[in-house]
Amino acid sequence: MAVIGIVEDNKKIRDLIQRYLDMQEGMDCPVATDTVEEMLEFLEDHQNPDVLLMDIQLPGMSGIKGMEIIKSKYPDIDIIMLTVYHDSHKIFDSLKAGASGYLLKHTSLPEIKESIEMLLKGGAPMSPQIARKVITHFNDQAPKKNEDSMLTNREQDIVNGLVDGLSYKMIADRFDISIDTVRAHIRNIYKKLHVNSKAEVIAKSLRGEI
Amino acid sequence: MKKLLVLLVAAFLGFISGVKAQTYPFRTYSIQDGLSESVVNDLIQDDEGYIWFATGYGLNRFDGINFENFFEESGLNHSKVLSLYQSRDGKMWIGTGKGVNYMEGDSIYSSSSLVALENSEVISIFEDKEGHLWFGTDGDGVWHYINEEELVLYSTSQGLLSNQVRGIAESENGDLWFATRGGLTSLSNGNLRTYTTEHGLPENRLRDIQIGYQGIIWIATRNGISRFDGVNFENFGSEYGIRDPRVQTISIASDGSIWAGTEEGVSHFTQGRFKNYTVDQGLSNNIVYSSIIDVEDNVWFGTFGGGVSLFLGDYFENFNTESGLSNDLVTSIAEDGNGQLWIATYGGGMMARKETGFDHLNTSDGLLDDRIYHISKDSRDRLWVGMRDGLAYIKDGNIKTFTEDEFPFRKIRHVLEANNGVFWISTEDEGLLRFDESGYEHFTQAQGLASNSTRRSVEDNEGNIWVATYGGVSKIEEDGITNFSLQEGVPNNGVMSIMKDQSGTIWISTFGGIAWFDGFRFVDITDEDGLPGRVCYFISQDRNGYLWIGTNAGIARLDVQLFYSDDPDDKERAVQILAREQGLISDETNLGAVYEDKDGHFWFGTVEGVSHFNPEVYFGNQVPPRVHILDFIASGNRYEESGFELSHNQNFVEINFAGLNFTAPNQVIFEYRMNGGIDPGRQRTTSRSARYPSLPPGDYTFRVQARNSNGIWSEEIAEISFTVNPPFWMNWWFLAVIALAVLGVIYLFYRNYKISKMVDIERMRVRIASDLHDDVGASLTEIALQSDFLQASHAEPEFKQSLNQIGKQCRHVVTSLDDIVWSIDARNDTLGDLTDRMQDYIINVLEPKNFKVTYDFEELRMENKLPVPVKENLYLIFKEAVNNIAKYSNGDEVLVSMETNNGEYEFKIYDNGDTGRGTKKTGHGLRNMEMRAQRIGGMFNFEDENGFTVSLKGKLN
Repeated sequence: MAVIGIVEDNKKIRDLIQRYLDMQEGMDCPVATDTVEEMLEFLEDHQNPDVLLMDIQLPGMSGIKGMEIIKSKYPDIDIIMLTVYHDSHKIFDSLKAGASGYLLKHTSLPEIKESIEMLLKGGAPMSPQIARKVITHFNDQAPKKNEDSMLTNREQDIVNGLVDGLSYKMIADRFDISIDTVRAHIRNIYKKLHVNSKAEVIAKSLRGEI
Repeated sequence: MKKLLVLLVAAFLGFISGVKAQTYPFRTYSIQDGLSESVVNDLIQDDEGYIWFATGYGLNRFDGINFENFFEESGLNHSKVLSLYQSRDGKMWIGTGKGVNYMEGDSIYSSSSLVALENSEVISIFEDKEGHLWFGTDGDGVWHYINEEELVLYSTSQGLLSNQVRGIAESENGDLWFATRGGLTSLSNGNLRTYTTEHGLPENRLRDIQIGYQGIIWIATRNGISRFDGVNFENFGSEYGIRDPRVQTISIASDGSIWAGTEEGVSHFTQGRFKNYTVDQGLSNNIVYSSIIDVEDNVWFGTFGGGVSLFLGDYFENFNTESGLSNDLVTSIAEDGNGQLWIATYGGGMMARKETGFDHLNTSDGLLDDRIYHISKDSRDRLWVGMRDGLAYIKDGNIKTFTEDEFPFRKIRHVLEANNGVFWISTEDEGLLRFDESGYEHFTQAQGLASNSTRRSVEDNEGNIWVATYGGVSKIEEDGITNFSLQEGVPNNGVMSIMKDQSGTIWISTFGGIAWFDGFRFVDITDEDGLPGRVCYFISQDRNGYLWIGTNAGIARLDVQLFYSDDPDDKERAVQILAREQGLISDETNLGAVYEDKDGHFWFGTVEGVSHFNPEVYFGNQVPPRVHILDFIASGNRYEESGFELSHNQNFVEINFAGLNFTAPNQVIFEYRMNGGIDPGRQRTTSRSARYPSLPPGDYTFRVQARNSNGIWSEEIAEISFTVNPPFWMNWWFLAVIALAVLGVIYLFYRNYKISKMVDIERMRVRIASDLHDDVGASLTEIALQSDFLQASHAEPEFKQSLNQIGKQCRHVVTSLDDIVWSIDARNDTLGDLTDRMQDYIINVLEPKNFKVTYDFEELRMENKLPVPVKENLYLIFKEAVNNIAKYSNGDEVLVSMETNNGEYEFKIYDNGDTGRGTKKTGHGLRNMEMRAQRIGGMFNFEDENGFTVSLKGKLN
């Protein structure tokens, strides 16, 4: 049974998603909060959800900040951004903060369910816009020569494919791998992105910039 | 019978009062005036007109008002200055107690070649025709200073009569003459020759030597002056009337007469006789050491202990109580039938002027009162005497007083005898009396007189009587009295004197100037027209037609013709002033106290005595004054030469100047003008300075000219030029920089405004779109999710179908809103953002339809920015095109390409479908795309050969 949590300030949307996911087999959605702060409180003394759906624009602490905190305390929770905007900058920021994927809010409920399942299976979505940013991000990191945080050749290929506008399927075809492998790679890329960002944050705090 | 008091005046004539005689116009300059010391050893006038005094302590330069002193501290070898000489090159040579200095400009120098003289007292200096100087010393001979380099001594060893050389002169032929304590020595062609008493000198101790007309040598000796024509000595001593034959100094006047300064005053040798002047005549001290005659013909005497005495001329003789007057307040002067001159005073009776002194006549001799207002002679040679206490006349030494019965009036101010023999008597406060043998008729205000306070009357050519009163002028005619006051042009109703001129015109003098009657009204002439003072006590016309006006600031001689001349030069000379500076005994004259005697001399009564003026020997001062700028002071700093520059904040300027006129230095009038940035025009003043408190930047020339009291202008105009620099913020370059800066700021503001305006518009667009997206989007999302939720429940399939439609529709609207927000959000403004978005869109729209999409963005620089409108419209055109493909195309390949080149872009989207060829052209989508292309100035095109291509070309900016 996958445990799902929601942080969303629009009560109607929150309730609809919660009720829908609760109704699904193999899914349990015991917590849906207004704010990050409430969710953090919940996480203190409850079973941690496997997946957290999180809005970016929230009263109080922003979703991105909240994500950083949750990810640092509970690294096992996968977080999917829920956003009203199809805005690559925001999405990328949230990915760096630790999100494993993102969904537009108007995504249909079955699709939301599908994405969660996909994520639980180890996959993650990545659009060409995000892929371009990923490339730029890792190129900027290059001088640091931290092998662990660099993208592997295969990951690089996949990202380039995404940038070229190829679908997962086409990427899988091009490199003769399964579509799930593509997703796994992408998920891995997200993780590196997150690690990189964390390293960046640490470096920055050491330099006294934060 | 009338009670007659007849007294023999002659019986008292033996009594002579006044041991002192009259004084003359000597003016003293002493330590009080700024002279550095009272012993004046030498004096000269330099080529600029200044008078220099060599005193026992210090050298003095005098400009008529101020002294400038020079001492050892100023560079002199010694402060005891003994002799002065200006050489032809302009240098002032100064003989001191310790050798010689010279002055050039304002600086005093000493020369190493003059060191040999530093132990000598240099008492005479002379420049010979060859330009070499000679220095006479007091005991060390005479030194020849050749080329200002070498000193050659002549002393007794060479044949000089004495080593004390007091005077040096040179004949036309170049012979030099040395006046020594042992006689006269000449130097002729290198040979010394001596002259002593044996040759005819009256005395061997010589003090001074001067060469006059026709080469005549005049020598000052201890026994008179000696005239030497080269052959014979002619001596003039006591037998010619010199008071003291010990002559120390001589000067030759322009008329050839000789002034001799002695140890007992000064003596003027003219027409074979000496006229002596001592301290009794006004000389400051009787021991006279030095003398000169300046360019104005004034004679200067340097005295031993009395400073400097300046003699202006003997055109004035002054008398006061010290010289025998019974009282200084002289009210009236007249001659009696015997030609005897009488002087009446207020408080001291009256006096007859005699050869030596005065015979007094007062109450003890039978006068009613010693306070006399007026004396005048009538046609029967009676001398009428108007007193405070009544009326009398004197005839042949007898005094006739009028009793209370005969004439019951007091304070008699004036007695006029009319042509018909009737007397008109003005009284202080009882009106006017018409008086004859038969009695009197009384005119007062009751009869129409302007005032009971009357001063004088005059008869006009028609026989009418005009009366000066303190209420204006009254004209008494047969049939009545007419009054004239301020309304009729009388300058002041206090009318003190009245007269008729030679043409019959009536003139008055008042407290506010004088005036003449033009037949209808009075026309005034006041101090503003050049009269020295405002209060005019008397007015009188002399035999030459000049008007004499006595004021509270001296006497004016007015030439009416010049005064009304059109020639401004004439007008300048119309008023000539005789005041204390010219030698008048006092500047304050008395009411009616003027008299022209039978010799044509004038007598002026003042509050300090009486002055006797002889116009025959007074020529005024026809020498143009010299004018100099003394000082130029700008905010405390002194400048001398023209051409200096002042900074903008140094512009408080004071200029001091001097007009050199020694006769009447205080009557010099200056006219100056500052040409330049501001020009207040010509200014006239007697002040010797001009001030400009705040001159604006600019080039200036200050010019000043001086005029003496006789209306003669200086020939030169002194000028000084300077520049007041503008402050740096008024320089053109600075102004230019400021102007540019201002323009720059304005531009920046404008640009900033424009940008902020654009940004504002942009922000508003984004905000509106975001708000729509957020609010409407959120609601639509709710609806969509609701429909999803309902579909998940158990419902009829048709119902589910509808719910699905609702959800789809809602999501489509949200997506559109999202596209709009994205496209106008300036943060997503790079080519990369655009192509990413396009790819996302294609993935969403075409991938499900199994199109193979190829992108050609290879050449694009993804980080380049796109203007928001281009991005927006390009994206929407792209969407339209993709939607068309999704809807209508039967192909399976799509090519999207974009390239930029030289600021232009070309976007193409191609699909290989061939359905609907020809039908899509007019479709709504195409028109829409075309419209959007136009909005961003792009070229929209499509072609349907081999598939369908939509292309757009345009400029990036």
